[in-house]
Amino acid sequence: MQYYNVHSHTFTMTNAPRRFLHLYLPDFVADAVDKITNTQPGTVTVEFLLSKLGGNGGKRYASFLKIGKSKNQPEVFDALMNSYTDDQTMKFVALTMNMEYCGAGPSTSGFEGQLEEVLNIKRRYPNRLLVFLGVDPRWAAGQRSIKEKVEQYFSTPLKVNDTTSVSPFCGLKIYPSMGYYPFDQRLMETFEWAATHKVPVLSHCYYLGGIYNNDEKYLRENLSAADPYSGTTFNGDYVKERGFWRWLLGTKNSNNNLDSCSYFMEPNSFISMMDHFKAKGTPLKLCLAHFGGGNQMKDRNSSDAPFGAARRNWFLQVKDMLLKYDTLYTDISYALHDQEIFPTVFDELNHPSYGNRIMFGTDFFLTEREQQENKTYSNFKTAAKEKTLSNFDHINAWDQAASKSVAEFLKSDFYDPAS
Amino acid sequence: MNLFNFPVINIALAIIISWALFAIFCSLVYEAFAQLKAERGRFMKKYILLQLQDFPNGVNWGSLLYMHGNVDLLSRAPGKPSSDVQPCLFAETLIDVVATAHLVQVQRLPADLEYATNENVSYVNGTLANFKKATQTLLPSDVMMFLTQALKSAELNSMQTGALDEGVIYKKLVANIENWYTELTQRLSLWYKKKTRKYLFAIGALLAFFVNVDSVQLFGVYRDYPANSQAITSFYNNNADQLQSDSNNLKILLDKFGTLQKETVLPVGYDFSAIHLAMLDKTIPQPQIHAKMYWFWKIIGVLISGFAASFGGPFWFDVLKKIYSKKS
Repeated sequence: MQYYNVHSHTFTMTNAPRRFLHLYLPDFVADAVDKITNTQPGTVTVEFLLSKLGGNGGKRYASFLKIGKSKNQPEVFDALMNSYTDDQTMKFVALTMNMEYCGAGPSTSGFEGQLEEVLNIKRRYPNRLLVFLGVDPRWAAGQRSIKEKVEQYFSTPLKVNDTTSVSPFCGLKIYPSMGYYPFDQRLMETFEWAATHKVPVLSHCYYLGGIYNNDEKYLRENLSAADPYSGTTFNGDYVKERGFWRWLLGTKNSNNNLDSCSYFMEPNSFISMMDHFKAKGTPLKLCLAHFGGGNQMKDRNSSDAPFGAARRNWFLQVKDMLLKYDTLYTDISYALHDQEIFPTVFDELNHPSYGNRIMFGTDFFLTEREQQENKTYSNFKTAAKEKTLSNFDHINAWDQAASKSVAEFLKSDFYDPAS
Repeated sequence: MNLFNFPVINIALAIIISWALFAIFCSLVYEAFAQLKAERGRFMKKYILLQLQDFPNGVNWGSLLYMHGNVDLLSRAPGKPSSDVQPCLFAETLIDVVATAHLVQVQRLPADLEYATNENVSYVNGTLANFKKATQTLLPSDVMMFLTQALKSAELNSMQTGALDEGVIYKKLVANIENWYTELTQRLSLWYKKKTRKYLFAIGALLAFFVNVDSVQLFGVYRDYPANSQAITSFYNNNADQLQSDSNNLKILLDKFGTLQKETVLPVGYDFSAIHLAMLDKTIPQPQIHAKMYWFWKIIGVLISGFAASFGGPFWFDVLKKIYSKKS
């Protein structure tokens, strides 16, 4: 049986915006960490200091920096493969990300440069690496140009050597919290094309987690937008919360931006688009990654209303949508480091309506700050192998989540899991 | 009248010798620091990434160049890149990086351009053909203009009896890129020198403070105790050649400094430093650190020493050579 990790990253800090660390840390700390971790001794020093001053969390954060800053993409991928010592045939989906427009400055490599780097890995491991192309409505001028770019990237074979060429990409990746709605008109033609060719689309969907747009002015101007699928206007409000400690640490604005970006990526924002493609007869194969977020999974009974238009728990929103759309998938990446969510995940995997659309992924290497990849993988695999799913012919949860569901999701005109 | 009979000249000579010795010491400390940080390679990589950043096309050719096997195999550590990439290797790798980029493969040649390409400059060699395609189809940028110009120049200079020899074009293209790279590395050497001076100044001032290489105090010592200035001058006369030839050998240098310390009574070393004096038992009177203007002159002296260190040992040895050539 062929197993997959449907959610991983190989990008490094050279592919990330120059002010990437400022999204997570107060400015003065980000500047200091950025400078110091430029060298191996510096990283070791920061790791030591964070482990002493910041506990295990601090040490993990340093490990995350160590991978992102001291390695290049091929080395990151090697580190990922080396975490799966018991399965040398495991395939990995690497999600490329266009972070050029998230209000933290341009990257050193450029987005096309990031693609070149990841395709160089694909040349080395054509069968084990499956690449998703990151798309952003600001990538080119106009929806036609974006679609043509995507089409060209997909249809031009990647030359591995003189006798072999492979299809370079097998899916699309979107990251709405970078500052756009999934229903953005500029992405319409691209999604039409994806639906026609059954190309899977994976979207980041983790409540208050991940990368977000850090330009307050941009957010204020773009949170309200026209939804071309429903013909209505979507009204998102800029979130402005006060907090003395946030202000003192210099993270007040970045936290407000993060909160506001919830409007862009909440499951509710995908509904009109999914309805459109369903009604058209060419349903879009979409994965709302992270099942809404581990925090939302745990807080599903809480009365706190999360940020966003629906003001409803994101995990529950995804569940409702899974019932409504047959081509909607989700994955359990990132949250997987937390074994407390395993019982919930296994219950969901056995759900008769959508249990076969929940996929295994880890979100490497962003999870390194929580737990090392080999541990995240082996903990889940061990537990999932022991769990049989009564609603699916007693198949074990591991085979379901890491093989069957993913293979079905990835199948398109550009990738055949059976070949 | 012999100028070298003037005491002030002898004092100046002694000071310059002191600065030369101190500058060598600081250079050694900096060298260790630079090796640890792989400073040269990282400095070069930083500028290559800066120069080959192609914003309009969203790609950094420099970043791809460093990931290419040709360059990556020189160090195999992204954090410690090689500082010694030969011009020919650089040029050939850059051509290969551009020619094999998927970004170039996905570009479609407009029909008329395709016609022109096939009829006028039709390359059989895949690398040249794809490199040409990159210059024709990617968006104009500083980097693409440079590469286009390099190829055009190679084509023009290869015209012989109207036919194009691909081997010659490739060689000339490599040569054109090599020339640019050589020029860049020359500039990089200058920029690196400037950066090194800043570091040497910082290291010099810091070391001068901790081991009390205080130029103002030394001036006073040489002025008040001429025997010291004579001792350091004769030390230089006896060891000048070895000091210059073995300036990278820390052991030899430390031995020499030890000998010098025994021969003279210079207030150099941690025992004489302000920090040591300030930390001494408070019951022992330390009149000098409580003297008026003590800290002012200490800071001035330390900064002058740091400034002297920033010029580097070779500079001061050159000055000494010139002085001695006048003397002889």
